[in-house]
Amino acid sequence: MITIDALRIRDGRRMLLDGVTMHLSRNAVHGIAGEGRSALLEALYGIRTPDSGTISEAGHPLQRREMAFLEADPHFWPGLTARDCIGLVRHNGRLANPEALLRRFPVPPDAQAATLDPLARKHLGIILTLMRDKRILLLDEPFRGLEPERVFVMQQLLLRLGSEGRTVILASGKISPLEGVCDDLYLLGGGSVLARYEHYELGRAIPNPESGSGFPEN
Amino acid sequence: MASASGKRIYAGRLIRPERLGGSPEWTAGLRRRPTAVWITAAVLALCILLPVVGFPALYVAAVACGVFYLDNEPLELLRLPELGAGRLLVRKVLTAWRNYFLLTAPFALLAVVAHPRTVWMAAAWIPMAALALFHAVVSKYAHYTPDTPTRRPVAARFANAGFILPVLLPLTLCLTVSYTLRAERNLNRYLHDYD
Repeated sequence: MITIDALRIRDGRRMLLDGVTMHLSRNAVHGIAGEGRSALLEALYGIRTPDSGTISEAGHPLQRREMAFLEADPHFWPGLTARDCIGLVRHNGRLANPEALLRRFPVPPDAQAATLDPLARKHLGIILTLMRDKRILLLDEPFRGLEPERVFVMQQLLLRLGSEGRTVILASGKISPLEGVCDDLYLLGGGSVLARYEHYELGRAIPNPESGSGFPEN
Repeated sequence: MASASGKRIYAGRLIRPERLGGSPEWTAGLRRRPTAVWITAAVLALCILLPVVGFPALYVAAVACGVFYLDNEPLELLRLPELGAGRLLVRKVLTAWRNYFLLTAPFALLAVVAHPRTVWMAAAWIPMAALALFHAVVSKYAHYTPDTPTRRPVAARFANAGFILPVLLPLTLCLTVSYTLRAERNLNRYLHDYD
């Protein structure tokens, strides 16, 4: 169980999270929607320091070595091609095999990763994150910018990851792609948890299917 | 060549991270500067033909390889090997030595064959080149901040000059020791989970 206890994160004068408490069970796909979702994932991964509150797993600090993080807008080091980025992950994790992921999320292998168009960068970010055999996956906006057919592929991949026993925590601005994928959904707003829905209640969480959630982008 | 917002990189398959010991610095560095790499190779080949100049030219090339360690990589790339600060630093230094000495080995052999009397210079070249690369690595990680342009103090620039101007070499050696200690402390901020 990952426990987020009274987490408070401020961005300048703006309060992003104000005493957020969550209990995220292992081996499940958890959805997070609403304002402050990206800040929450960054705090989980340790790249944003909370003003107060704790994040722990079974009473111990959460270990980043067990996590992989997909940024909402992945960026890469100038000078490296997409093939280099994949090669580096393979070099450091011998079991990583990108073939299946490359078929589903194609990228031009010899193009400079830093200057790819946003869609191709997203594809490459997804490949590099899912290639790594990590127990906890933090995915920030994994559906944003993807074509409809790739959204479906991503949903299938997430279902598979959940059934493999991984803990997936994904933040999304729209709730509709999470339906049928997440075991539960936390709705953030005004710095706190507004609601929590079980997987069979997700239909209720979608206020207007035409416009997605309508939550502020963050 | 691939266009990169005004800058072109070499996008061919001659350069691969697997061939460069998994070093993102050397992979990106060689790809970003293909012309400089070819010019350096041509100049080194010329210098090797001249007596006495060969090994000093190889040493200058080692100092020039320090430019590969000027930019800060993203945090994800730093964490990719999943090593603690100390072990990561050791790996970075060993990879830098491996790549440099493998790439310059043909030139060094040519220098020995062409001018056997200058072999003694190799005894100075190897430790000095190794020290220059060691300094480049620890200097980078002593000031490392993810995703931001490197801002190094003036003393660090003097320290770099010490590899060319012998007068400044004592300062360089002192700063190398200082940066080695500081680099591990600095990296521990980002890699403490991996110890």
